[in-house]
Amino acid sequence: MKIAVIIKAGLEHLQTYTSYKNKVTYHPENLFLSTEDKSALEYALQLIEVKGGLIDAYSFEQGEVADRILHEAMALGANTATKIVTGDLKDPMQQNYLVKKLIQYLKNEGKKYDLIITGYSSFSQFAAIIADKLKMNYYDQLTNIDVNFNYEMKLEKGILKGQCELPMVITNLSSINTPRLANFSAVKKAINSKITEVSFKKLNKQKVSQIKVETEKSEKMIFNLDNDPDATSKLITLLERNGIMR
Amino acid sequence: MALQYTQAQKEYIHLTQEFGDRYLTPEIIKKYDKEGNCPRSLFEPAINLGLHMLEIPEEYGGAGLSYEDSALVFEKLAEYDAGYALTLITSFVALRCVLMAGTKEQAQKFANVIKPGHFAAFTMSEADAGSDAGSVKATAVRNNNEYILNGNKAFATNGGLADIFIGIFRTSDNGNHGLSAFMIDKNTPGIWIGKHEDKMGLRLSNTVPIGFKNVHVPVENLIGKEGRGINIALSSLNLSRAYVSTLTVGIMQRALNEAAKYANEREQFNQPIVQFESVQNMLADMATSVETARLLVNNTMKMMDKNLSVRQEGAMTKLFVTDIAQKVTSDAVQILGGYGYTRAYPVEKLMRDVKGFQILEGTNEIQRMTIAREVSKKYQF
Amino acid sequence: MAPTYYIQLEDKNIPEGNDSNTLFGLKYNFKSNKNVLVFSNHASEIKEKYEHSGMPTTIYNSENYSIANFASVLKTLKEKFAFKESYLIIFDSSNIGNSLGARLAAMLDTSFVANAENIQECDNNICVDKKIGKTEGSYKISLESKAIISTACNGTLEDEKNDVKIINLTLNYKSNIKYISEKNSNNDLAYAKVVVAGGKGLNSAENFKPLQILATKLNASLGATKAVTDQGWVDESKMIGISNLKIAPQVYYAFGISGAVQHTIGMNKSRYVIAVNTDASAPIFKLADYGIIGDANLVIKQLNNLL
Repeated sequence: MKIAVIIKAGLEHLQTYTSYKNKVTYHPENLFLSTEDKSALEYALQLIEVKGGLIDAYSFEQGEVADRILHEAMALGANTATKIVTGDLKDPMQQNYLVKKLIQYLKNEGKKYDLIITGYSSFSQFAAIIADKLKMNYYDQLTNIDVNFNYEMKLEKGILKGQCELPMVITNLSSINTPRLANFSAVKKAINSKITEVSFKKLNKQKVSQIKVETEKSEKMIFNLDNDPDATSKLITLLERNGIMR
Repeated sequence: MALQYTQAQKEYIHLTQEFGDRYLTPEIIKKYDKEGNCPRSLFEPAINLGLHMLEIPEEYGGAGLSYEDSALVFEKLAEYDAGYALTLITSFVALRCVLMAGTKEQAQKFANVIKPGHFAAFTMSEADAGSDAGSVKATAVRNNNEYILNGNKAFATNGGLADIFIGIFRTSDNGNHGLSAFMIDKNTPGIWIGKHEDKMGLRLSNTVPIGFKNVHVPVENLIGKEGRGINIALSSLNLSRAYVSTLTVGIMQRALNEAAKYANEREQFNQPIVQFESVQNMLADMATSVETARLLVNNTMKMMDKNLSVRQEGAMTKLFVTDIAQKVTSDAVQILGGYGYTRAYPVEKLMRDVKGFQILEGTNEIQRMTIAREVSKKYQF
Repeated sequence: MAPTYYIQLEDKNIPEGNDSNTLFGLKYNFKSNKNVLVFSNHASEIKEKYEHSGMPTTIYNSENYSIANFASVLKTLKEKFAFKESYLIIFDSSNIGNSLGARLAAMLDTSFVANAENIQECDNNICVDKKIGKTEGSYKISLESKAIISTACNGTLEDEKNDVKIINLTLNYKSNIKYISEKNSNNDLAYAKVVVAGGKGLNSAENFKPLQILATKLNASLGATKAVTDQGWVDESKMIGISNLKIAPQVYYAFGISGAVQHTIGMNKSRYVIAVNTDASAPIFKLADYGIIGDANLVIKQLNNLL
């Protein structure tokens, strides 16, 4: 089987973006492979163990983050690592362009995949674009999947169950499996392994979304009915103003 | 962070953190700390990661990480439990003796024992021979092509867990220069492992007395030459001294993390206690201690990686780090107050664990002796 | 501003795919020509619900329609929008909504912004915010003239009449995807976005009647503490707490509830908590974002009068 895993950094750290005097700074120091992508890679590894094949890891992250997460992927068993250094795959306005370029690149390199998998995040809709353009089946937000391609997708009040068919593009949640841990020798080897660097023509500035930082201020307001007979109507006004009551 | 981590170091530390979060949860550590032992099964995942062979050279099947990098890994591991980390690095103390003074065959044989997931122990101390290593009484008598070992050893770390020992025995009456180092297979008849010590701290580390009664070891198992035992032991200890200091840094970092977190959450007099200057002062001192300790360990590791002598620097590192760790962990308990004094919170264990480091690997009094001797050479007194 | 189209799914066999909070909230949240497109297998039964949203609605109906049939929804929408010059298609910020939104965007060659917030008019475009995971950063995205987003907002029935058109859908795609409901799926309270809960402080079973009226006004589900259900004032399926339901609604109103741990464990993941209690030191006020120190029954009466 030929599998491509598109890996991304986790987005749990509060301080990943900070701003000072209207300038937003990106802090990559603490970013590592996201849990969903670890599970994606684990699934790919399990498939290879059963059906044989190769895993190519791709990253669209920037700078040290790209190298770090690709090292993690290789230490776990990915056979090759490629980083695309153009653009921001999380920006919904850039996704169409970047996917188009990626597909062109894969075609030029003669790479055809049975499975393309990436961990689910609210930015992973680029996977739908890949599936559409490469005419592959698309299964997303999977909460469960096994090596026989039986899958589950959890909705609000129940689960959709079905069978996937190759060739396919998948986005998965971290509940599909418990990923293995690498060992230190593998990490050391990965650190010294080659990462292919790919760049595309830059997107024009108009099409790039801005990032802003907003520290979430939690408002708290408790009225006292004895001191303030209008408390209830004031509460209603406040809730309506904040969109909590409509 | 004062220490500027390399990218590779960040990745090694991150893997260690993932390992610790998954396998060394607070509940598990608390349970085994209370029981005072650690089942071999808890080491299985560490062995899968290669943590038992981290710094062993690649030619012997290890990961071959530098001292600098592996020290950071064990520092992170010690944040979860220092006794657990100590178990993993104790094999190195033993192996180092063989690497430094033994033959390649001996080193290969030793590594082959550890590689599949076994441990080694280094045993020199006896009931009457602690700091005064020269008064070791256990004997090794040459008989044709073997030595016969007799005697009782005390406080052998990993003794109950190890499959292979390095033991220091007396081959002649020449005081310090009558000691020799031997590689001993655990299964040799005549070895008995005594009762596990009920220690104040580092309770996940196995510490036992070992008795030798007419234990026959082949002459090939002598490491280096007869009479070189103390030199071999001290050369190995020179390196491992600084190495165990890294575990102490890990304990201090954990103490700081717990204290800072608690101080932000605990409210008294209508505010989080972290707003009070006395608490802030303690945290400031703790943080400064952790950063300076880490830098000192890191520098000594760099020297070791360059094969420079660290007789003085190793002793200074161990002395400085383990002494300031006492105050750091004590302050952590202080900040957590009444709750910190109970076992329900993890900080009292940190205080108990850290005391052991002022004693093992050469007491801090011996370290001062070593440092004074080196200083005297320079200033000629 | 581009005309907007809000997509809803109404499957009589599967209680998913629609959100009345957003349906009623969209009308007021931003200005533009708004329409609702519904896919269903029981149009005649749901027609009335969609006659009061204030937005002209089209129901695409087929007896064979099922939520699991993504393809039929996508095919219909693709045909409708392929040649339109400008549009803003809105899906719910649910798993289905996000899935359909991404797929449709790929088919129509436009972008999809999941979980968009703060929909506003900027210059001549619509712009939205999108949080970046759990970081403090968010994208400020200026949408193109053709765009697809998913979002959620709060709203209640305002009773504005609008047209509802029913169109027959021919389905020839059968999927072999099965839907299996979860344990609590019959209990509205478990999935409600807005919950109004009452505790011992309401003093009697009678006082839960005005509370139910308030719940209806706020398009909320009614809940209660163990103390109340033990007394039989409210059915025990409505009990929120460690022994029954753990819920995480957008908004949780706690009337006459002290906030004991056994209860708060069942609701402390709510986004906004509004508490009313006579006791200023009640632990519920530690959790609350807004509240009133006063008699819960009085406040309920005042709220019912004012809303």
